[in-house]
Amino acid sequence: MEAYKHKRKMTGDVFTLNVIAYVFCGLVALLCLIPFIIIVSSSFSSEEAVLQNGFSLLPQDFSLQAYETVFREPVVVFRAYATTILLTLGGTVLGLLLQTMTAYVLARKTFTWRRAFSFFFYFTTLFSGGLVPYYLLITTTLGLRDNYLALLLPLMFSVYNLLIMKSYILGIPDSLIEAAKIDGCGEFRILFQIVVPLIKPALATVGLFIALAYWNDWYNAMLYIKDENKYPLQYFLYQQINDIEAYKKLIASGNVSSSVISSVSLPTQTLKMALTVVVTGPIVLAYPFVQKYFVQGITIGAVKE
Amino acid sequence: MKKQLKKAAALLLAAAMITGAAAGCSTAGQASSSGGTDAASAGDAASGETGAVDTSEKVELKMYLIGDRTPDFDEVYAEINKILEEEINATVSVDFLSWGEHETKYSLLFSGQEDFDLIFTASSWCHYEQTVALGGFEPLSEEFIQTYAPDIWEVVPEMAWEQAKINGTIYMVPNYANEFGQDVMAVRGDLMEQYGVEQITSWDEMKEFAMAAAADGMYTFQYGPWYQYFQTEGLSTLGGAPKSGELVLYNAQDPEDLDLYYILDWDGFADYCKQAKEMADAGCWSPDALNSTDERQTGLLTGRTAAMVWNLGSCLTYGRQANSENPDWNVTLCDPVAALPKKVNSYINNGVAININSQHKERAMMALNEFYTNPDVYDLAMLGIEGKHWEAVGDDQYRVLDESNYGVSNNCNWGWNNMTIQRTEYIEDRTALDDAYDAMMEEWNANVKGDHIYDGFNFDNTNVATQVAAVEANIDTYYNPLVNGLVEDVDATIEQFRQALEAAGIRDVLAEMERQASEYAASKQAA
Amino acid sequence: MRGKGVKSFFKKVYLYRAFLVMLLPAVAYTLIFSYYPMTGIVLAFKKYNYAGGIWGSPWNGLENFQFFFTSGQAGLVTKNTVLYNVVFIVLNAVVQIAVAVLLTELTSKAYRKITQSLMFLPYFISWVIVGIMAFNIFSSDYGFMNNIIQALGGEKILFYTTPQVWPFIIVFFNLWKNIGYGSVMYLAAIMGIDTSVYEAATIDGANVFQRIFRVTIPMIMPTTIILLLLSVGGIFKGNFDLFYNLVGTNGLLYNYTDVIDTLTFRALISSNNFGMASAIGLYQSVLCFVTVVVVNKLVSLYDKDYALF
Repeated sequence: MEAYKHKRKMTGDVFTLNVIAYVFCGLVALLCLIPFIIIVSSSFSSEEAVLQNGFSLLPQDFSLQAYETVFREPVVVFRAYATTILLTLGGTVLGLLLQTMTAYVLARKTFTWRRAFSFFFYFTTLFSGGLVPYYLLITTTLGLRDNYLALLLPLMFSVYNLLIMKSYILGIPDSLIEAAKIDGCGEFRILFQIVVPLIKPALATVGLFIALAYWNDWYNAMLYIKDENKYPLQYFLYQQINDIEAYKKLIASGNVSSSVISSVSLPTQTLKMALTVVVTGPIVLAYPFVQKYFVQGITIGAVKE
Repeated sequence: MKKQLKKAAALLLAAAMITGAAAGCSTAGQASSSGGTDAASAGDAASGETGAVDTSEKVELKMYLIGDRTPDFDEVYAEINKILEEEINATVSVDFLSWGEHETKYSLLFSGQEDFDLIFTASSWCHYEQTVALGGFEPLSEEFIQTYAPDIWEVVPEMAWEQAKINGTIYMVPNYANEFGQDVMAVRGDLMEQYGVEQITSWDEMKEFAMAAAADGMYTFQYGPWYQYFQTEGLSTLGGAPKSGELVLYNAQDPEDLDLYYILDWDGFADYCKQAKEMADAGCWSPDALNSTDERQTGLLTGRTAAMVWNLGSCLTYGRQANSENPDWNVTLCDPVAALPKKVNSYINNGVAININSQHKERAMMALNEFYTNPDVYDLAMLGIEGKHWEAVGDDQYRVLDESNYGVSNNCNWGWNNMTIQRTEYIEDRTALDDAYDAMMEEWNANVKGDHIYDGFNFDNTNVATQVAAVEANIDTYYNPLVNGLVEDVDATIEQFRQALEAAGIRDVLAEMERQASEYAASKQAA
Repeated sequence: MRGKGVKSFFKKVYLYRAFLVMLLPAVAYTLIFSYYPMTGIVLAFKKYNYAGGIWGSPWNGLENFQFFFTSGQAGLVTKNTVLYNVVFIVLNAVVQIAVAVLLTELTSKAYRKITQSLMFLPYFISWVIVGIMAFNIFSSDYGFMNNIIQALGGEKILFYTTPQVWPFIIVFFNLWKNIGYGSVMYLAAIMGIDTSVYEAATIDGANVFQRIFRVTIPMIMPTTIILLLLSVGGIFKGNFDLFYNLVGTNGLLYNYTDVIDTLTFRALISSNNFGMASAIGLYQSVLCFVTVVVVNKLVSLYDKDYALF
């Protein structure tokens, strides 16, 4: 798309649209940025100042106390980083492969069973048996307690991503695939040599979604992982955050001993914010690398030749 | 096998009693594996000199506790295991369910038929009633307790066992600590002086103070003081009733009064709600009370509220902190329900239960007996290692040496709280606040209220589960705004509340509750 | 006749062998991780106990569904859930498409990259923290909004006792949180459009607005419809974290903010009844299923390829 734009002059309509686009995107971006600045600033503030004055755009009474708490046991945090990064990378590659392959078949119009299979997959997003049977499957039937597979498998395949991928693949002209077929290409070759290069933006998108799912996952770790050496990063954030809920509930239920209440180590406001920064930072930094696929258009004509 | 064992044990106990040996044998039941006196090799279940149980096989028990593992936890439990191994030839390995997880994972442990022996539990907030209803805990017969935990049986009062009973069966060993259920106030002394309020010992004085503070632009409370209101009237929450017992009250101060006070049939509720609205409108607490993300002590410590309402211990802790940060505040303790004798908190607020799937129920009970009554184990679990984490001051006090790596009463040792052997903290530089605390504590201990039959009653809602869920679904909508004085029209909201609960089936719940309560009362009165 | 059917079936299997091999891993995965645990649905009709487990516990008919309908709130919360979701689905789609289109039209590559990245930030802020921030914005004592209103000489607004404003606040936060994540999908779809199509449109003398409405929007329709259909599949499911963290236990707001999931949470918080929780889940699933089948049928009448199945 870049290419054709350069050929054009900045006509009146393009100018108008660009004014709208600059203002609108700028405002939206600002609205999304401000809360994050507040989070970062609070994470560098002292707890007393935040309690006294509330949140602010700039750090108040600059302090690294929250980060000292987060990195109290640096080895554990860095190990958690490593776990999360490896899981995210591995899961994304495997998930992308699985999803693309499946989506390709469901998008092939010559495959007359594709509706039945689409339904077979889609149905699982509507009905679920709840937590108990799933927990029993992972722990008892598959015996994956304290196993990295319990973190890898549950997120590897998502019907949501599958169907999005399918819709992107549907955008590829049939003629292209049929032509390859006539040339004697097998389905695997068509997929990897013709389709995959054409759906790079889709791969980037779905890949990003899979990666985010792995990156943000704490629930599976809570359920299946006991060994603290195997905790992923988000687990630390959510363990703290869930403590708030537990505390609220204790306070609400009235008849609880004081020693019980006082032993809930409630995260301070600044710690919550610091944890958010620590678990968000790396993936935000990695985002621009994915982004390049969102700013280049695809020229199918070029592939055809 | 188990039956034989129990029979043998009972026989032995009987024999011991006849010969008078039991008098000198306070550790009966603590079989020892050490020494040549152990005749276990004979294969007889009832062998061993002191106890009735075969402990020849070494057992590793698994226990689940709530909270997070402190840095020195494993070191401390290694010490405990040394003692346990010597006393009952068993060791304990502990897994934690953290605060954030236990809500989800507690029940999954049972759903997954996981193999463990002991688990912390507590009424309402820690799954006791739910787990019993789903059949997760081993029922504990009196005979079983007497056999395997005779010292616990000795120590724990009758009322505690009564409270632990669900449908007549005990499923947990309740803790034994006289904690007072009633909250007090940590109040800014300087403000009391400024507003000319000399003391806060009653509802009216408390309201007077709050209104004066409101006129001054200060909040007094975080939430509406509903508990203080009904406690002043002598009422108390009923175990197992909806909304953590707040929907149905009983007159704890008058043992003769066996009525159940469904709050919507009680005039006091409407009276309170009107006063609450008056106070909320005046500004005695924030109009955002229901959404506040503050912790309970935040208002007091930041100077936004003139007081904090909480239990005695917390009021002391945070009052101390506030005074050390702001010496001119002169925070002191006040009891807004001073006129009435004090109710001791339910003992099932902390306890330990045995997993129904445990392979070593007897040994689990024996281990619990050690935790509960062996002073060495008790001190270790509560305070850590002597000389490292704490040091003894006299026979019954302690001084903290290292707070950060183990903590005091911070490792879910609450399930076996036993006030007969629990050390208290030795305080070096006492302030007026400490004296006020001690004075109040002493007064309260001397003024414990008499037993009421319903103190030990626990409503079992399994027969009306549907109605209870429908009722619970409706409570917050009306109750929370009413209790915090945030509604426009008190009478109209109460009427809506009443109708919503009637439609949800509150009458069925109340009828079932009446039935159970009167049956319970009858059985107690007969006994 | 029958023999012929079987024969043609195997013929097809042979014909489709490559497809079937490609599908095999996903099918196996779905059978194990979705269909096998799906049998847990029977819990909705059972009085669960630990010893019996999922299969051994006694049946209790429709008893688990009862509390929801006798609570008197079933109609209200079902209506709220659907209305919120309809607004979410429509507004999210419109705003996310607008963002995606405008982003692609930006002439400055750097500006595009930066704004797009920033829009992703809210996705990472957990609902708990959003709730805390919302309280700091809307609280009457120290809230940012009221500070501004008062600085401008206005009267304080007590947001937390004024239920009517909450639908707007909730919709805003939902929009805000998903804007970056959601627009990426449309962005990818736009990027997938063959550039030659644009060139043709330009040569035809279409102006930029015509190009957007005649080329870009129609070209991303398949993706849009799939995304809409996927959202419709959850139309009876409320986002618990969103509602719970913004509203909490504030009963004053429930008329405007209570959804099925928050009501169920309150009803079962003390009993933790698995059967009842499953029952409500099933109620939601069945309603979603019916809605999706209808909507999917309508879509496939319009164009078979747009349908989900």
